[in-house]
Amino acid sequence: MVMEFETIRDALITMLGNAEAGQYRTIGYQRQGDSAVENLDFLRSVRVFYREGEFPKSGASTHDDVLHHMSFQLELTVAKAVEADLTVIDNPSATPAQLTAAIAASSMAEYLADRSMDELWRLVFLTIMDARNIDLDLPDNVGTRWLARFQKGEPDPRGQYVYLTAFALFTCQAYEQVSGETGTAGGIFDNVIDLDGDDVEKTGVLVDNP
Amino acid sequence: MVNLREQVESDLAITLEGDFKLPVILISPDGETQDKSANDPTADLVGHVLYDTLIQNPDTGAEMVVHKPVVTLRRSSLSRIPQSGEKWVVKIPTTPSYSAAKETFFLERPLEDGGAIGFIRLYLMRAIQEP
Repeated sequence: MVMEFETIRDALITMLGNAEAGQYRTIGYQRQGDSAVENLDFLRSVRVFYREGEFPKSGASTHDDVLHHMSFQLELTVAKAVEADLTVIDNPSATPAQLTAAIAASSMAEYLADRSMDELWRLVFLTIMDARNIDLDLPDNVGTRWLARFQKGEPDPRGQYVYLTAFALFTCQAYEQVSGETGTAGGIFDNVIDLDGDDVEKTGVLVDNP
Repeated sequence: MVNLREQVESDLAITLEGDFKLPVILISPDGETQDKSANDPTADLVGHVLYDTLIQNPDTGAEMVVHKPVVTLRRSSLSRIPQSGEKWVVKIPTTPSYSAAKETFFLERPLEDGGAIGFIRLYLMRAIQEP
């Protein structure tokens, strides 16, 4: 038995994964195949974390399903390299003037990372806030889904790429059915080790294997 | 008799340009290519090249293996010293082999100017073909 927030977390991952179209990667999404287009700009990724839950107490909730206001954190990451005309820069016969022009025309990785993040946020926002996804494909189960906040970090030159991370806050509410948890008993192995030459044969172990 | 700093600088011929050396090519913002040492125009420009490292993402705490090429050169071997803020192209071998094909990086991050003892350290950014 899982709780609704786990179902909603997985529904979010599935929804974002279905909408990737090769433009980013959703961490945890069970993809059906891999193709060249899915590797395009493969350094962009989206992760979904259950972050916070509130359970307002009411007369009904004390003996019925429990209302759960839940928040999920979406972590968006992009990484970019410098983009330049390498056909000129790697050409041994290029003239200094051609090299100068190619170097000057190169695009800074920080700028590219920032633009790439804007695009990724657009993709995520338009996917989640699409009216067709209002119930996250979980009919009658999810209410008031909303992307409440987005915050972009600072471009961070790390290694040979510039990384940029951003966070978005997704909120919704659902009713949790409290079915109880019976737990699972651990197995107990009661073994006696019979050693040759051990006349006493009292060498035994009791292993508790939860 | 040389002073200690001069001694350290001359030792760079061993520590940076000795047995661990790898060839490096620099292209300045004005398109001038340097692939020979200013100290010896018949010798290749060489230096120390380190490739990758394990780092921690400060935002998430996740560990990432990143390629982080760092090139350390002897300043006196350069005909022009890169300055922070300038766009330079740096080409280094794809593998730690003297004869390996070279790949292209940009110098976009601030460099470490070890001018006091005569070296310069360059942190490289990968370059890819623009669309």
